Amino acid sequence: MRRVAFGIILVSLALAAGCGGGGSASSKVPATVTLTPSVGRSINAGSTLTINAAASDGSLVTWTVSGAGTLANATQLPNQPPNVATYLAPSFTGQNAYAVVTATTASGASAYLPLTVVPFNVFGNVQGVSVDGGPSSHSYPNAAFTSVDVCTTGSTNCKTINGILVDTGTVGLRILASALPTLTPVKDSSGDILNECFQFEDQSYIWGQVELADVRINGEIAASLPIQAIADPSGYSIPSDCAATGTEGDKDSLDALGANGILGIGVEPQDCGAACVAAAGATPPGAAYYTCTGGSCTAAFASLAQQVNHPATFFGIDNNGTVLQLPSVSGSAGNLTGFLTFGVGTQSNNQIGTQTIFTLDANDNFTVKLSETGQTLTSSFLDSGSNAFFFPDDAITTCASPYALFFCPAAPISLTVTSIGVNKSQDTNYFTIDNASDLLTNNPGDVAFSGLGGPNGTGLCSDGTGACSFIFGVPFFYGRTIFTTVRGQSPPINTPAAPWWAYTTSFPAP
Amino acid sequence: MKNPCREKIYSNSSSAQIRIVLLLTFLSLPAFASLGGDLSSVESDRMKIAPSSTTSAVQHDSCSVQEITEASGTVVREYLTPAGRVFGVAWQGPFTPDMHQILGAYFDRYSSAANEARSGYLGHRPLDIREPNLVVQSAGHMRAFSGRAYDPTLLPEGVSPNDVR
Repeated sequence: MRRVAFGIILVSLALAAGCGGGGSASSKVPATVTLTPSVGRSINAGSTLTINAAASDGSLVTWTVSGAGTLANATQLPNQPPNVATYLAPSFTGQNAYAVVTATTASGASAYLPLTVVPFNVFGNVQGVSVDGGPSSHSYPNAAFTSVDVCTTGSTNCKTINGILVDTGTVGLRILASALPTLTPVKDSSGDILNECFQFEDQSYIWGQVELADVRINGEIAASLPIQAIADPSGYSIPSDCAATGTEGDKDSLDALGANGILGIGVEPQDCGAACVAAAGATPPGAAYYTCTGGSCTAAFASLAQQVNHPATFFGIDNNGTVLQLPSVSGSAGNLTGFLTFGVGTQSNNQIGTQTIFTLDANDNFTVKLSETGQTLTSSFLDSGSNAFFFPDDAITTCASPYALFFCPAAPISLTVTSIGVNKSQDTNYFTIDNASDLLTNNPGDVAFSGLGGPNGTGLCSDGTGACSFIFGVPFFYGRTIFTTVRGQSPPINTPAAPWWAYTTSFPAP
Repeated sequence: MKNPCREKIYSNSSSAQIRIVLLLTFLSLPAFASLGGDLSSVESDRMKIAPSSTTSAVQHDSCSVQEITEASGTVVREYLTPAGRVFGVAWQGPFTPDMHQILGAYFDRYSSAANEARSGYLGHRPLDIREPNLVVQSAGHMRAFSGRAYDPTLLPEGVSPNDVR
């Protein structure tokens, strides 16, 4: 509700500014329009939807529709009360169709409702994913890709963008700006466009403006979602606190990123959170949000609403988490297909059963006991954006270039890995770490490898500091259906407060 | 294994007195040095990286630790030889600190090693640079990063790489 109101206010402020103003001393509060339903949604082909509009100044609205379908409104139907429209979805034509219904007052205030027309008896919350090496000229092993449709806000001007990495280790949608339609930049309280530096654990980074988009994934719609448009700043250099390993760490192209974008579906509602929100006496953190004015880009605050947000939290119903399902792999495999389902316990196709639930700490981590080293790794996490198991074990040989940062043991190594949630729930899994160089060079046509592992620091973590983590990368996702819930969102009934994760090895295709 | 650079914090009351004295010293002379750098020569640098930071420090015969909390909430710990030279830096928090600042003269070597290590294969993974004169490890995830950097040839006697944390 809060986000919708934000979007509506933006629209009316923009319209007010567009009128030129002309220095009127009596500042009138711009009118706003609120629609019911307020959140974009799917609608079955051939059915109807009644939409109500309420203008804050009590005025009547004019209805318009763009894209698929038609409207019947007060003008067309004499018996219909004012400010009510009926949307008529077209019959299904073999693929989803998009519509935007807009209500506008005489003074120019407006609000819109994006709709997606889907067929009967098909779930709109499921999106296909594939492990296929990705869209770039180099194969990207152990990475799941999907597609998203990005639309100019309030319009059906959309582009389908394929080759988007599905990443449970980050939050927010980040797409190469060159692939995007025209979008509206998000500005800070001073009116300057917000840019973001998003760093990864290997100290590579993404730079780009924050822009608003209507993001559509199958039947799901995230309206006016702040996303990152990946592109270097025009006329400015990237600050040194962002370029942690120099400009070569800049993932600003398809070949550098290995993807056209990243769909971050981790366990936080925003990528930065409170650390980036303005507070009295505080300075904005480096390597996060920036504004670029007066010759340089400097750190800036961004409100939660302005930050790059988790797309699913903007959905109407399936907004509390995700379910990622990939087929099993033994050794190596070619292209695979799987499913990304939005919502946990919100539809009949994403219900959690009696699975063990692992709740997470304030840093979104849980604990792993690794029997082979005797270490207790208190900062462990799941990450479909990591393409291997990563853990500290100095006894395992690391590979020579070009497979540095992977393990190359002489013989396969067995691991006994016990996960322990903050809620003390426990579960033990057994993994095998293979020689990465052999796996990758002996199977050149394959893209999925179950035994990829790599080093993750060497320090002891008995005092809880340092690289103290076991990373459950994509090999863990093979053969499993993994549920994750987002902090602050409502979990399914009879489950702990989010964030948490759970898995099952037996789950039907959604 | 106890950290020889940290042991003194909790070991006995006399060290607590030492800590208080050093705290006052460092608060009056706030400093932030780069790896390999000399603490006394760069006392004003802290203002560049963390103008609103707080510092604390403890000392031991073989090494001392200076802790800086950046504005972002990231805690940076600098390990110094008895002569005041930085032999290691560790960090933990929501953001990675400015590596140019952390590594100083080591930055270019780090940058080329990191870029070469990443160039082999697509994807994100923890960074683990191990060269004769420079070890850098960087890990974690969005909102929770950690890492450390040290020069193995500068480690004081009795100090192990695992003490830099």
